[in-house]
Amino acid sequence: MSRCQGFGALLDGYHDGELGLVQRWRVRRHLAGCGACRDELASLAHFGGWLRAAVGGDAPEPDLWDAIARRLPPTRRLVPERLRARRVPSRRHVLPGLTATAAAAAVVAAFLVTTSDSGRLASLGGASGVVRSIYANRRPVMVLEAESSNDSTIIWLMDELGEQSPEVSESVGI
Amino acid sequence: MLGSRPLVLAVALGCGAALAPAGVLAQVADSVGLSLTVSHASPKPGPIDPGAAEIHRQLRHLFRYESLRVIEQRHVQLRMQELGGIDLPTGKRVEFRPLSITTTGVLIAVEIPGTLQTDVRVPNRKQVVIGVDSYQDGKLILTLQPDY
Repeated sequence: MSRCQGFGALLDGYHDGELGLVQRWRVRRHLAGCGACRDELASLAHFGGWLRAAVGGDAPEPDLWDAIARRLPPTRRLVPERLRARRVPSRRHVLPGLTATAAAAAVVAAFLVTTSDSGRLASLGGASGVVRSIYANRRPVMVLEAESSNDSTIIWLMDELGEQSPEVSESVGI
Repeated sequence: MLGSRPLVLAVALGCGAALAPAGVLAQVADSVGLSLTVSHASPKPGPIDPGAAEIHRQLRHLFRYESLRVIEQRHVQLRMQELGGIDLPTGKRVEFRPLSITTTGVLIAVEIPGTLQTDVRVPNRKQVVIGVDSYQDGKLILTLQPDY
């Protein structure tokens, strides 16, 4: 399996906004050096735009549900609250998430570690096996192992938990 | 009997020649050169330091920053188990100690007391980039590259 085949599922997840920060890092770094995957992502975006436009064109009128709800039998109210509240994802929504998770599990190239006092981690063994162990005194650390000869391994100490989450760190830059 | 002596000599010389590269490797592997760079990435507009071009190439797709400045660059030669270090502008000190060399790289223990302890096995002339601490309005970045 080539590297790009391994990234296919991650691209789906990236496009759908389902990846965590570390996997987004991986995808971005890969995209920087892979024209084929950039094209694939562009086509996903194009297809997504087309799909939204197509679905949007056939979308029901805003008051249609109210009209249907009024005609539903009262037994609907017997459904337990927890079941009614449960969101049933569409197949389109589930599959990329599952495949992205599977891909992430298959290639351990990036990870977020939060170590505790007793949490010295040994033999992390990422894709390139550069980081053998790490301990960061309760600070979250992100490790992005080199996946090609052009890459460097990146160890990124985040600020203390509670001060700045990884998501915030990314959104504000460094 | 006399006739076999040249053969023995040739075999001995051959073995010596075969073992010589290993001896050279052992000699080289006795110490390792480490190139260290401390840089500062900042959201303030400014130049990308040419000395940090490789770091920029690695990080520009991952983080948003506007300028990247090399604060200090140093090359040290360390024997196995020898302790080296470099001071950060925050007052913290980064210590590193090469532990062993194998065909897959040099195993280096890196420690910023109270902040980070890690063992990294770095292939020859490959970089490890460590985003260390917030500094001023940005982030301090340490890169480590062995050469042996």
